[in-house]
Amino acid sequence: MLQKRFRELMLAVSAAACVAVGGSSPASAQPALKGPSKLAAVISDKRSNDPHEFYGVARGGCANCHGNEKGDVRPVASGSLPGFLGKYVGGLSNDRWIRADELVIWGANDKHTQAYAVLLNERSKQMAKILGVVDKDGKSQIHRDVRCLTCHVGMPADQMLKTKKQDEENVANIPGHDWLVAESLTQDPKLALGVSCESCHGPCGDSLTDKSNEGWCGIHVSKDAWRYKAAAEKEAEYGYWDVRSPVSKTRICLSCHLGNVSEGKVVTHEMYAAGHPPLPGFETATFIHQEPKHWRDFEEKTEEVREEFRKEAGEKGEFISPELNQTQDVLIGSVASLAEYMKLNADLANEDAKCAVPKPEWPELANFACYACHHDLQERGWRLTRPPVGTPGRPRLHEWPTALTEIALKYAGADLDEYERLKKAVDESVDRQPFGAANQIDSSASKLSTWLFEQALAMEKQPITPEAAKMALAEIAEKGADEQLDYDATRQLAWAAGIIYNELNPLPLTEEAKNNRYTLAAVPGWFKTVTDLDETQQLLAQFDKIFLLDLRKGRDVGVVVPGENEDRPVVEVDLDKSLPPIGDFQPRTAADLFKVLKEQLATE
Amino acid sequence: MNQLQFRWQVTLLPLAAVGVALLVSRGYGVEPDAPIQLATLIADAPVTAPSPDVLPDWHAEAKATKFKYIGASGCSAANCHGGDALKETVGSEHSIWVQKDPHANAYAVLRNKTSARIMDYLAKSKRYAELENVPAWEAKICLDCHASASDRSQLAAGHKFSLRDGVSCEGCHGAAEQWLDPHKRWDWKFLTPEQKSSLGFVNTDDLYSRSKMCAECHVGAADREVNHDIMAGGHPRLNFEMAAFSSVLPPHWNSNDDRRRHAVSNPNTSAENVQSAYFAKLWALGQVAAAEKALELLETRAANEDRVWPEFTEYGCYACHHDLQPSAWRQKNRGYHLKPGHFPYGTWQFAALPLLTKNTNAADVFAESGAFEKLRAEMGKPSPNREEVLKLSTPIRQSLAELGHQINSQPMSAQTIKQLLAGSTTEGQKIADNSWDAASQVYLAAVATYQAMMDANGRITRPIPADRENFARFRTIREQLKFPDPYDSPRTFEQKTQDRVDVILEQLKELSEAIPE
Repeated sequence: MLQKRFRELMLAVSAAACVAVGGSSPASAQPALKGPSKLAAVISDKRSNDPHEFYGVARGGCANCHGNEKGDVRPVASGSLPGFLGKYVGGLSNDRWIRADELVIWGANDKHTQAYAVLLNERSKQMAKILGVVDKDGKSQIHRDVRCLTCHVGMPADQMLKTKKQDEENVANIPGHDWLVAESLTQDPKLALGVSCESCHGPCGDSLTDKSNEGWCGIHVSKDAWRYKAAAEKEAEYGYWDVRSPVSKTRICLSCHLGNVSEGKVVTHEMYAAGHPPLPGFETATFIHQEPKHWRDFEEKTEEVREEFRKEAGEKGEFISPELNQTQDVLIGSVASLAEYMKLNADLANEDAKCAVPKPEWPELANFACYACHHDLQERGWRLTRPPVGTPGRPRLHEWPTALTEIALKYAGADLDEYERLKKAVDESVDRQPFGAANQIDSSASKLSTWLFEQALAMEKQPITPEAAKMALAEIAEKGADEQLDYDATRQLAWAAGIIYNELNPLPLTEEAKNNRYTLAAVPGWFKTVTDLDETQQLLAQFDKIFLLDLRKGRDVGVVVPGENEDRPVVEVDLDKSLPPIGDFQPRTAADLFKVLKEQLATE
Repeated sequence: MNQLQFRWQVTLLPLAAVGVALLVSRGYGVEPDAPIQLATLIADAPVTAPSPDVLPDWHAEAKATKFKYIGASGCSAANCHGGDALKETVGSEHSIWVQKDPHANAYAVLRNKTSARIMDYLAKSKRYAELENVPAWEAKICLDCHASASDRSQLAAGHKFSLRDGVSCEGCHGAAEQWLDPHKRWDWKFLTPEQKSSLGFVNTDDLYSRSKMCAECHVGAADREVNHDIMAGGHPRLNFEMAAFSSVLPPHWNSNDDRRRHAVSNPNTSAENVQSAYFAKLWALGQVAAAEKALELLETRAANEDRVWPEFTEYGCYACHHDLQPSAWRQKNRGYHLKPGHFPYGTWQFAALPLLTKNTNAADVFAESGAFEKLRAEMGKPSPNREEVLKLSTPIRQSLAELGHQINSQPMSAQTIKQLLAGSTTEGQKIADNSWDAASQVYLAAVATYQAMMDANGRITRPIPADRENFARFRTIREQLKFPDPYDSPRTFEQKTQDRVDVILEQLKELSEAIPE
C-alpha cells in the first residue's frame, strides 16, 4: 500500500515537473535548455523538438510502393509473409532506385515488426503486474503505456497522448494512467506493426506543433522533387530523418537502443527490475548488419541510376565513402555512440531537460554499468585484478560506449589529449559521490558530448583508407589482448573486429543465402551462413563461444494480438542464453583469443 | 545410550574448536562448576589471521580519549591475568585471549594481502589521496577497529600500548589509566558500575553495554565504519549477531556467571542446575544494540555532507551483487514493499527485529506499515533525502533504546523465551523467504532462542532426544545458508534459491511443531 501511494506520488511529482517544464518552454520555441542548447548547434534535435505526425504503415500508404512482393531481383513466396502483414501490402513497380520490396523484407524477418507484439507476451504481462500497470481486473495494460510505446512503436509521445481518453473508467485506478494511450489506438495498425518505416525514417505527416511545416509523406513520392535533395535538407525541411550519415543513423538507432530523454525513450532501472531484458551494448555496423537489409547501398544500385544521381545531386550527394562503409560505421558510430551516451547522461542529470514522458528520477540507475554492481561477489574474481579506477566501490558508467572511441578518434587525427581531459572531467563528476554529482555530470557530459559530435561529423568528411582500417583492426585486437574490459565492452571489440576484417576480406556467402535474401540466412550471422573461412575468420568465429554475438537469436513464441486470427510469431529475448555468458565471462579467455588474433593479423 | 552420546558429539562437531577452547580454558573437572557445553550450532572455527612476516616493534599512543591506554602487557603478569590457561580461567584472562581469541589477531590481518589491496584501491582515488603510501597498519580508518586505539597523537606520553596487540584488554574494557590501580584493590568489587565507568571501565557484565561495545566495531559507530569504498577492495562484510559471535569467542571469564546473573531459578545452585534466560537476553539485547548502532551510523552519515551518501553497506549486498539471472524469482515480491529496482535497506541488521519487538512497545515501529518501513522506503531511493532519513531514523533509534533498557532491566521469563522461539520458527518462515540475510537472521534467532529455551528448562547440559532431532534440523538449515568461500556471494543459494528456501522453511515448520514442552 505504501509502495503504491509512494509510486503515485512520484508519478504525480514527475508528471508535474514535466508539465511545468513543457509549459515554460513551448515546444515550438527554441527550448532554453542548459546542456543541450550548445549541442543543438552541432547536431539536430529537430526529431524531438518538432515531431511530425506518424501515419503508420497501411494499405494505400507505404505499401503501395514499398510492398511489392516481386520487388527487387528475386521473388519471394507470399507464404513466407506473416498473415498480419498480408492484410496491408499491395504492390507497385520498381524503378531500381528503391527496391520496392522494403516492406516485404521488413515484414518477413526484421525483428522491429515484433516490437509492439512483445508488449503482449508473458514477460510484459509480468512486468505490468510488478509495475502496477494493470486494470482493475489485474489485466496488463502495458501495451498502452506511452513510456513503452515510444520505443516499441516509435510514434511521437505527443501524438499518442492526444488519443488518450481521460474518462476511461477501467484504467482510472492505474498509477500513471494519464500516460496510457486510448484503448482504440491499440487496435490501430500504426501501433500493431511495431517499429515500422516512420519509426526510423521519421514520422511522415505534418509537424504536430506547426501545421504549415509540411511532412515528407507527399513530396517523397515525386522523384524529381525529392530524390536529389541533400539528406540534411530532407530532415530539416520535411522531417525525413537522415539515415545516410553515420552520425545521424547511429543517433536514430540509439534513441531506442540506448535511450533519449527528450523523445521519452528511457528504459529505467525500475523497468529492468520488473523484468525488461538488459539492453546489449550497441555497435552501429553490427546492428545494421544484423538487420535484414531492405535497402541497396549506393554502389549496389544500377550504373544508370547512380549516374543520374551524381548528375542531379552534384555536391549534395553525401554518400561519403564508396568503400569501407561498414568500417566507417564502426568508427564514426563508436564516437557518435559515446557522444549520445554522454548526452543521455547530461539530460538525465539536468532537471530542466525536457522529457516526453514522466521524467525518470535522478539518479537513473539504468544509466550506469549494469555488471559493475550486478555480479556475484567473488573473492578471487577478475574484477579485483583490474587496476582501480576512481574511488573503489562506486557505480561506474557503462564501459561499452568507450571501448572503441579512442581508436576511432586516433585514426581521425583528433586531439586525444582533449578527449582524455574531457573524459576525465566526466569520470570525476561521476566519482564525486555514489551515482555522481548531478550538476557536474550535466556540464561535463554535455561538453564531452558536444566535442565528440564535432569529431564524429568531421570524420564523416574524411573517408578511411584500407591501410588505416587495417591498422585500426590491429589496434582493436591489441586492446582486446591487453585490457580487461567487461563483457559488453569486450564484445564491442569482437564485433568491430569481425566487421572490419570482413569488409577488408569479403565473406563468401552460401548459395542459399545468395539466392534468398528474404531468409535470415541472407544476413551472414556470426560466420554461420558462409563457406570457406580463412584462418582469421575461423579465429573470429570462435568469439561466438564467449559472447552472444548474433542478437537475432532468441526463443520463438506465438503472441496473441487482439483482433488477429492467428498468433503473431515473435522471437523473444532468451535470457537463458543471453545472461549466463555474462556471469561466466572471464576477460582472460577473450584476451587470449585477441592475442592470437593480433599475431594472426601481424602475419598478413 | 552410546549412540545418543555419539550423536550429541556430532552435533557439536562444527563447534569442535570452540568446545575444545572452552574445555581447555576451564580445565577438565577442575572447578566445581563444570563448564557448560554450549549447544550452539552456529559458527565454524574462529578465523585465524595469516601470520605476517614481520611485526613492527613500535609503541603507539591511544586515541584521543580522556583516559590513556596502558597496553595489554601490563595485564599479563602471571599473578594477575597471565595464568595458566590450561588450568583455570580466572587469573588466565590474558593468556586465553592471546592464545585463542581472534581479537588478538586484529592488527596482524592489516599486514595481509587483502589489506594491502584495500589500501591500494583507496589511495588511488581522489577522496582518499592522503592514504597514499600509508600502510593499513598505520591508517586510522583501519586501526579504529583493528587495534584498541588508533591515534598516535599521544605517542610522546610513553605508555606501553602496542598496536600489534590488536584488540586487547582495553579495546573492550576501556582505557585503564584511571582504573588500573583501583581494580587491583580489595574494594574494587564494592564499587558500583557507575563508579567504575566514571573511571573509564566498561561494564561488560551488563549484556546491553557489552552488546553495544561489540557493535561499535562489528556494526560501526559515529566515529568508525567499514564503508563500501573499503569493502570494494576486499574487506569482508560485517554480519554481526551478538549471540552467534559470543558463542565462538573463547570466554576468558566464567560463562556461568553470565547465566547466573540472568537465572530464572535459584542462581546459587551449581552451574548445571541453574536455569537461565542468558542466551535469550544476549540475543535480544544484541539485536537491539546492533540496530541502534546501525541507526547511529546512518544518522551520522545523513547529517554530515562530507560522508558518502548513499552508503551502500546500509543495504543488502545481494540485492545488487548477483549475476543477472534468467529465472525471474527476484521479480516475485520479496517482502520489502519497495518500488522495483530500489535498494533494500537494513536487510541484515533489522531482519529479526519484528520477532523481538512483537508484543512490546516497539511493535508498531517494525509493523508492516510502521516507522521502519517508512525509513526503508526513503532509504530505498537511489538518492535518499538526508533530512528525511534523520527525521525517520531518530525516533526508531529512541524506541529501540527504550526497548533495550526494558529488556536489560527486567528478568525474562521462560514463557517469554518460549514465545520468542515460537515466533522465530513460525513468523520466521515469512521473514526467511525474503533474502539470504533474513533467512540467516531467522536461523540465528531460532538457534539462540532454542538454546535459551533449553537453558530455561534445565536442559542445557541434559538435552532430551527431541532436542537432538532439532539440532539436526538446525544443521540442515545451516547447510542451506553456507557460503561457498569466505565472502563470495552465496551463488548456489541464489541459483537454487527457491529449493534452498523451501528446505529452510520446511525445517522451520518442523521445528515449530517439534518444540518440546
